[in-house]
Amino acid sequence: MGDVLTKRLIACFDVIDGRVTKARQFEDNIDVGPADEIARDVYAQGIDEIVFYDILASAQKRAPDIAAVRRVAQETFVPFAVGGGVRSIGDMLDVLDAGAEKVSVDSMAVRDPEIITQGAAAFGRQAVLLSMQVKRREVSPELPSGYEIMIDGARTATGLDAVEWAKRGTGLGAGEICVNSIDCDGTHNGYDLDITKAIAEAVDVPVIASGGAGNVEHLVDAFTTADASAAIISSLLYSPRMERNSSVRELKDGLVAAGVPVRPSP
Amino acid sequence: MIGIIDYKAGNARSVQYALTRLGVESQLVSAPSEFEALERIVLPGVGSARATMDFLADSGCGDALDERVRSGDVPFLGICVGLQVLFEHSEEGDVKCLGWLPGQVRRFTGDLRVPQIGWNEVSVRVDDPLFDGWDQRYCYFVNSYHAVSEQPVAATANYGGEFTAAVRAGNITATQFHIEKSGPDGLELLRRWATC
Repeated sequence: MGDVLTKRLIACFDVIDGRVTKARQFEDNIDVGPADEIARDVYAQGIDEIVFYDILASAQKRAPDIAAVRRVAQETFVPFAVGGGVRSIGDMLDVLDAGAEKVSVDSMAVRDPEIITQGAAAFGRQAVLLSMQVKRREVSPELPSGYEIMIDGARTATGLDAVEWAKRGTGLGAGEICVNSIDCDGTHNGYDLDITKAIAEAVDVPVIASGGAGNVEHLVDAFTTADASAAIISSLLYSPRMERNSSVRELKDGLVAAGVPVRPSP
Repeated sequence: MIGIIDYKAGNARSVQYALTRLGVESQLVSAPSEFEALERIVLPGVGSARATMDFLADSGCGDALDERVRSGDVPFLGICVGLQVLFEHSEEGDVKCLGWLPGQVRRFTGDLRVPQIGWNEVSVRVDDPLFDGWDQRYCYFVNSYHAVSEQPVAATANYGGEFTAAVRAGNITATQFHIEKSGPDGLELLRRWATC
């Protein structure tokens, strides 16, 4: 599909108590630093977008930490999506009013797909980012893509096929899809290109690759082989588990060298 | 004081944060009575053309805008949908818009991902102090629709063809891109508008 835009690099903050953490396969989160400080740093480096997940909100049955969202929004003047614990239109408005302009829905949208439609009607479909946790399975009549949607921090299987859910979510009003590979998350071995590509081909909204980036070649693969419009690069930027972290500029230089169009670094 | 119209569907707060970063005072407004004291007015945009037009009509802010901006000379900045509603009609929800500028708002067509979500290069098409030395900058766009103006526009970008990225007409300025979310280049343009 024609995609003439520059490719976006997105920093994804998995936030606990206002601090960015880094997990591996959705577990063992270790502390990185205060979200507003990391935000200021990656903004200065020229990050294209920030996603903020309040990763405990859903399990604790509460709305996202609005004070922490606001602190990040006051420091960064790039697109900003917030997810985790968003259960209603009221929660969505609170998030947008705190300075985000996209709301990410995930487990909640599986339980109550209507929230996608309501969010798109109230705030426009561009404001609704459907984030999905996908796990590789055997191909079967129930899971023709060979990937299943998981929810609740990858703990609960839903029986939903990943490609079918992406198509349905888009039909309901999602303006963008983020494909988080549970198998690849935090491994630094590269994105799951198969499912990212399958979803990018199945929907006509932008698709974000997430989970597994360990070097710039992985980004190139996501953008070219899998036709992703954006990629999440949190480990590369700040995971203490990586031997060496990269700057946004280094990554963009690598992408430019590989012929991938990006917004120039400052 | 700069007033940012808050229609509870959008990103008024992001615009306020950006102005605060620039050291410029602003307030969110949602009722016509609040327009009297405003020296500048921003109509931000997230949401649909219809939601925006409904709010302007129901709240009376549309009439207040007409009086202060169209009949008066208060500098106005529209952002995203805030640019689109300045034209006569939008395909999005088949809605009649403000009609301050001649033209129509149409959906992107062709083999494209819609909405357009991302950073696109903006080309300035006018000799205008607002854009002096500010050209070929990358700005953040989020839109499924774009304005087809009957008059020359101030700036364009390309998404399956050239489209309106910014307009200028007297005291009216508007950007299709999110000026408040376009990094240092967006902030620079916002600073110029807010302080010129």
